Amino acid sequence: MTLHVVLLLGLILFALGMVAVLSRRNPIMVLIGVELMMIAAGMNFLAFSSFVGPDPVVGQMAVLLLVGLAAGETAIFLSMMLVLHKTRRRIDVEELTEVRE
Amino acid sequence: MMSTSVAIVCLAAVAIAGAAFAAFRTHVLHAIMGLGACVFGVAGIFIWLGSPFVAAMLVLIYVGGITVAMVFAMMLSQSVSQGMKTDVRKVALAVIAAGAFVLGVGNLIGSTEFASNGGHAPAAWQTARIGRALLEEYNIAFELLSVVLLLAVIGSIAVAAGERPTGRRGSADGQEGAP
Repeated sequence: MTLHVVLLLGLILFALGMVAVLSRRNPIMVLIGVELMMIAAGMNFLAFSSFVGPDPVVGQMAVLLLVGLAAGETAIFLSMMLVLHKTRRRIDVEELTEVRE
Repeated sequence: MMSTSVAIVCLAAVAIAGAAFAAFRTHVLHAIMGLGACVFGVAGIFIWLGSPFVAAMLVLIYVGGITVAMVFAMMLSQSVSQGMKTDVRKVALAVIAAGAFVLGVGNLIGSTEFASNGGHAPAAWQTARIGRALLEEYNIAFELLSVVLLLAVIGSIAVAAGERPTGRRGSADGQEGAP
């Protein structure tokens, strides 16, 4: 039963991150949404390894690697945003369409 | 047992409130603070699940690193810090999509019976075991992650510095050539 509670909490956090990613035009808000989704995924890893998996080290390793990846991703994302701010004053996710064509 | 479940409910409420704050507030700083609160709630859940080390790492890296980097980026660029108008129709569509996702996956979670392992011994959660696993079974993943982090730092410095180094060299050459 407790596993279900943690999974539902992870599901809610993931859905809130999804709302932020889908609805926001500000790149930092999109980044916050992605981080929320990654936290939710990490919580599911730890919950499964705590209640179902044979060895809790596996889930803890997955969370640690996930957090490291999130840190690297944030560094790249924020530096890209600073460059965008330098080249064009206004950063709107919907206006960044040059690569699409 | 009763107090434990109350604590879990409080931690989950903190996490959900923070995430909702992050998802729906228009001001960037409020959203970043919501993310921080959400991380604290999730770290509490991690401690309850049995892993204080991972909870500490989560708080250190997210609150101490990622959130602070976001605040710095927000302060450096004026256009990011001012909240943009959010399209109500887009928010409604996103909420509908996320609601459908929650309904579908929630149904799946509710109807699934997970096999239980009967709980781990406290010795299985020792931090020393994580250190040993990092240097034995997960050595390659650990090294790969450190290379990825190094490349991310170098790449972000290169991207943020942009054209400046070549421009400076050009002007330095010009100064050398002038006399």
